[in-house]
Parts: sequence; C-alpha cells; structure tokens
Amino acid sequence: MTVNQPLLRVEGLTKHFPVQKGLLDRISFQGGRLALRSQVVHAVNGVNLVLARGETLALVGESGCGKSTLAKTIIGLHTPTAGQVYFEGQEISRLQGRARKPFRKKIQMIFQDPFSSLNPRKKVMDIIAAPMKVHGLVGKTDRQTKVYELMEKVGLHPAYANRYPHQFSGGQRQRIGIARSLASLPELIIADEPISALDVSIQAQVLNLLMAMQEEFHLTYLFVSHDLSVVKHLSNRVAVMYLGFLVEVAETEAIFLKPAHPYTRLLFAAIPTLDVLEFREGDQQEGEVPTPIDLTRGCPFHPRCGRTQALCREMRPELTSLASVSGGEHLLACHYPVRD
Amino acid sequence: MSGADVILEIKGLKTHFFTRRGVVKAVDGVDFSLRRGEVMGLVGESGAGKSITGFSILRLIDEPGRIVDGEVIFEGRDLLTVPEAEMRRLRGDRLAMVFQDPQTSLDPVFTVGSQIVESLVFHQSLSPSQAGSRAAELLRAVGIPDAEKRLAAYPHQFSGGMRQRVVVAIAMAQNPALLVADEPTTALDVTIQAQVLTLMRRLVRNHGTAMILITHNMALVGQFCDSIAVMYAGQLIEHGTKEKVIRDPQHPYTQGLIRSIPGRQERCRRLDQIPGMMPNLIDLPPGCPFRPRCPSAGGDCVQRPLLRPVGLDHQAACWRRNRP
Ligand SMILES: Nc1ncnc2c1ncn2[C@@H]1O[C@H](COP(=O)(O)OP(=O)(O)OP(=O)(O)O)[C@@H](O)[C@H]1O
Ligand SMILES: Nc1ncnc2c1ncn2[C@@H]1O[C@H](COP(=O)(O)OP(=O)(O)OP(=O)(O)O)[C@@H](O)[C@H]1O
Ligand SMILES: [Mg+2]
Ligand SMILES: [Mg+2]
Repeated sequence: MTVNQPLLRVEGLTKHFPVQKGLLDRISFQGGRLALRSQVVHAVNGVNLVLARGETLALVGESGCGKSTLAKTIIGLHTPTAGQVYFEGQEISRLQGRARKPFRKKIQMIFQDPFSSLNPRKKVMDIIAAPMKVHGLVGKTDRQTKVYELMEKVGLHPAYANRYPHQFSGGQRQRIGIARSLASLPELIIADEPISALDVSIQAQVLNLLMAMQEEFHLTYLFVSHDLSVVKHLSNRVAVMYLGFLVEVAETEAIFLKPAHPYTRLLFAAIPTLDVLEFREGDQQEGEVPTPIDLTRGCPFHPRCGRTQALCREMRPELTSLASVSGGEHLLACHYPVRD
Repeated sequence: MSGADVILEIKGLKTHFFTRRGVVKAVDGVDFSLRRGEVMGLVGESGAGKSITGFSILRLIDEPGRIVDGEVIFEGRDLLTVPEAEMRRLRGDRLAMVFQDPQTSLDPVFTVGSQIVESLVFHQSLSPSQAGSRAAELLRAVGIPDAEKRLAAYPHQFSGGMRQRVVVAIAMAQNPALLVADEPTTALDVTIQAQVLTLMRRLVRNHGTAMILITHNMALVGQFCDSIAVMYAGQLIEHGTKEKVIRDPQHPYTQGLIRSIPGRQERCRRLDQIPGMMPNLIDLPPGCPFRPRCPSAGGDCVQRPLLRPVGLDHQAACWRRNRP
C-alpha cells in the first residue's frame, strides 16, 4: 500500500431504483410505435469521491437527494447500477459473503433511523457485543466489560444493558447504534445523521467522542448531516449533493467562506442561528419541484436557479477544479459560478 | 395569561412505566398551559420524557406504561376521562401528533398514497377519488416532487426526510386545534425545513392551532416558537418566553444546554458539554434531579424544587435562582 493511497475511492458510482407502476402507465407512443417505458429513480448519478485516511468529509444536500443511498451503496447494502468502490485500493462493491467479511469490520455505518436499525428482540448488551463476537475481537470473558465501557463512552448507563431497544428514547437508541459501530474497531465510519436525534448537550458529547476516537485511532468519517453548524465545526471537507449529483466539493473553511454553487448558497443562507429569534417564512418554491424520476436535461439545479442561462438548460456541467486561493482543491459543477 | 384563550392546561401529569426492574418515572409532575395559536417548544435531555409527555396528551400510552396522575384539560374537558371511542375520533381531528419515528405512523405494507387517503376518508369523509387528489396536493405542499407518481410508492422507497414530510402532511390535513409535533423536521435539510415550518406557521395563523414542537434544535426553537419549556428527568425545569429562556437562562441545565451549541468555539475544538449523565429514571435521587451534575448544587438541593417565577413570563425550578 502506498502512503498516498486514499482510504476510500468512489468512481462513477450510480444507483437507480425502478419505479413501481402499473403496466398501463408505462406504455407510451414513441414515433408512432408502442413502447414500454421503464422509469427509474435516479438516486445517485456518477459520483466520484476520495476520502483520505483520518479526514472527515461531510455530505450535505436536500432531503431525498441520495445521501443515504450513496452511503448504503458504499457499504454494500445496495449493489451499484454502475461504478466502483475501492477500499484501500481494492474494488469491493460486488463482494459477497466471506470475501466481504473483512470490509464489514473495517467499514461501519451509523444509520439515520435509530428505530428500525436495531434488532428489537435483542438486548442492548448483545447488540453492542455482536460485532466483537462476529469478528473475534474480544474474548467472551471481557465482552461485558467492553460493552459497559462503550456504553459509558456514548453516555448510556451500563445499568440499561439488559433492556430492549423499544424501552429507550430516540436519542438513547441512536447512541446504542453508535456504540455498536465503534465495537468492531473500524477504520471508516459512515455516519448517516448520527446526531440529529440527540439533544445538543449529548450531541456535544457524541461529537467530542467522535473527534477523540478519530485522534486515537486515526478514524475516517463520511458524515451525512443536515446540521450545517455541526458540519462546519467537525469536518475537513464538505461535499454538496443535488438530485444525486455532486455539485460542489471543497475544504470546509473555503466553502463556508465562499460557496460557489448557487445551490450551496441557497442551502447556507437558510441556516437558522440563535442570533435572530424571529421566524421568517420561507419562500414556497416556485416552478417545478425537481424530481429524480425524470431527470431534466442540463444542470440538475437549473429549474430552481436564479442565474440560469441557455447553456444550463442544454448541458450538464461536470465537476471540475476551480482555481482556489487557499491552495486546497475546490471542485464545482456549474457553468456560471457565483464569484462575489 | 387570560383564561379564555387557554386551549390546553396540563396539571400534575405523571406517566410511569411499571417494568420488572422498577418504576420508570418518565413524566413526573408536569404543569403547563397553552393558548390558542401559541407555539411552545419542548426541549431537553434525550430521554427526559418529552415524547412521553406528547403521547400522554393524546393518551397513547401502552402497557407497561400508565398515566398515574394529573389532568389534561383540552377545550375545557379532561381528556384523561374521555371514553376511548371519543378519544379516537378526537385524534387526527381536533388533536394531531407527528411522531418522532415516522416508521410507527406509516405502515410498511401499504403504499404511501393509500395511507393518506385512508386517513382523509376517515376524518374528512371525502370520497376516495377526492381524497386521492387531495393526497397529491398535500404531498406537493410539503415539497415532494412527482406527487402523483410517488403516491404509489411504499414507505421504504422514500428517503428519511420524505417519510417525515408525509407524516407532517397527514397531521396537518384536518387543521387540528392542537398539534404535537415530535421532531418533525430533524431529517430535513434547512431549505425544506423552512418550507415545512412555513406551512405549520400558516396553520397556526389561519386556524389558531396551538402547537407543541418537540425538538433538539435550539436555533429552530428560538426562531419558530413563542415560548420554551425545558424538561429534565421527567420534570419541567424552566419555562418562559423564548427571549428569556435563550438570552437569560436561569436553570444551570438550560445554561449548559445553550453553551454546548456548536458555532461559538473554534472549529474542530472540543465542544462544551454538561458533565455526567441524566440519572436512571428508576431510582431518581431525592431532591433536584440535576443535583449530581450541577456546578452550583448545595445542601438545600436535596429538596425537590418546583417551577417558580424568576421574572416576568419566566419560571425555573432551582433553589439558586428563585427570586420571587
Ligand atoms: N429502496 C428504494 N426503492 C426505490 N426508491 C428509493 C429506495 N431508496 C431510496 N429511494 C429513492 O431514492 C432517492 C434518494 O433517497 P435517499 O434515501 O438516498 O435520500 P437522502 O438524501 O438520504 O434523503 P434524506 O435527507 O431525506 O434522508 C429518493 O427519491 C428515494 O425515494
Ligand atoms: N416502554 C418503555 N418501558 C420503559 N421505559 C420507557 C419506555 N418507553 C420510554 N421509556 C423511558 O421513558 C423515558 C422518557 O422517554 P421519551 O421517549 O419521552 O424521551 P424523550 O425526551 O422524547 O427523548 P428523545 O429526545 O431521545 O426522544 C426514557 O428514559 C425512556 O427510557
Ligand atoms: Mg437519508
Ligand atoms: Mg422523543
């Protein structure tokens, strides 16, 4: 393994889901001929991404834009429609069974939904101990102590170890998931909204834990979040996704200072802060709401963008490198970037 | 607070879970009231009893839980004494709740569309075809593209945030008098969050709906709500106008909570956190539940403090702050 080899490299990753519809809806006339149209949800489209060991990359974007699907495809819960996932240089996206096992240990996921991702028939003790057992990491005698230790780390009373998931509140369940993901001593953690169910003081506790674990074990995080103040605080780089496409990728400070994509601008402008204690009604979206089913031609953002020109309707901009002042790489997919 | 406008009054509410290991006092003596058109933010430690408070108002507590004491007076009637059949009619009509877990309110085996239609047919007596187009309308209002096509999808084919918006759309469909919204926007990005909140604000403005917004997002509470109640270990420990609670928090827990919000510290630094954890609700220490973690605890804290005025429209439950 070369020193500069990235921990994770994703190339042209694409995931489409079929739309379930009746036969009649799918029949259409094309050039006077009867054709069977198959419609798909374009959840993830040709994503290229690199994660260096030890960094935290935040993935942000509109609800439904494909963040969870990208995460699940990387970890192998979905088979990609196209594209590759390389972990330490090895293509893993189509591995199964025994061949996959080492990567199941090395890559862990904290799921967005703390309610359905925990086995309701297992006690917390067994849920957290499972990865230690499966991967033979901790001997039987030490497991209990190890579980108690992890529970304390995430702020759960060890006294709760014999309870079942349904006996916990939402935030408590999320912490069980976090403890479980740490139990296998992973190298990459994909955290899908890991803290949105937590109150801010426990959020702080969990974020501090994630930062400390990162320093101690040189962990790498792909961090999906809607909370932009957390993203700003925690991540080294930010990737912005729109309708399944990456539209901007840059270092955190650079992107918060000078967001270049009109969508990133829109997103950052809506961050609520404690400086104002007043509610401003949001604009109801004008025009067509974008849809991942019938992808428009051109830039995926053009129907909502205030700066659309003819080119934007015709050609989809590629993610390319923007000359950046800081020296860090700043990637952007926009024909007419915001420059002020 | 003028009595006439009060739509909901909760007095001494206690909801306990009788487990084999002991009694979990999830809600243990909660009092507050809500006026028509008031939006109250309910915040606090994870596991403090916020959701159970919401469930208790709608009387949705299952075994081994029981509402053991208190009154929930809604539009002049104690909901805790209303017959179950009547309660079922009220829920989804005068009273609505958005659940923290959209999974529990959406059935995985039915399409999203059929679930919205069913609720509309039951509560608004629309014909199925009217309900169908109303359902598409509702989805569009919460920003779901391709609404007609998406009605045929199953819940697992929606993203987390889309499921959440479906649940919000169902809850708002009947213009309820009281809406309990448990983390309705946590899975949403900020632009869609603003859109959903705007819809809720309009509901409040146009129909005088009173709302309890349960959330962890302090910035959101600060902007969206009129008043804020802070919960800790089954009790309200601070309550007041949002300006008072955010700008001049009186309870040490609230102060710690506001300090731990990211954004004020240098990037990548450790965030301020409140040391320790919330006590096990089975054997709560006597006295103030925050005492073991409190930087200013003293001898008198072995007595349980009750909510007392600490200023105009501002109450806190702390022996240190009680200046009448
Ligand atoms: N199993 C599936 N079958 C069909 N469509 C799916 C499936 N899973 C996801 N989708 C669709 O793919 C798109 C992207 O969903 P995804 O869950 O990745 O979004 P997301 O960015 O994580 O959103 P959120 O922030 O709301 O969680 C959505 O339009 C969703 O409806
Ligand atoms: N079925 C149950 N059996 C035993 N204890 C329960 C049960 N349901 C909830 N509890 C306990 O009741 C307490 C209050 O739970 P609740 O769901 O109201 O918390 P919350 O304030 O909504 O937290 P969060 O912010 O994490 O959602 C928790 O400590 C939880 O462990
Ligand atoms: Mg998601
Ligand atoms: Mg809750």
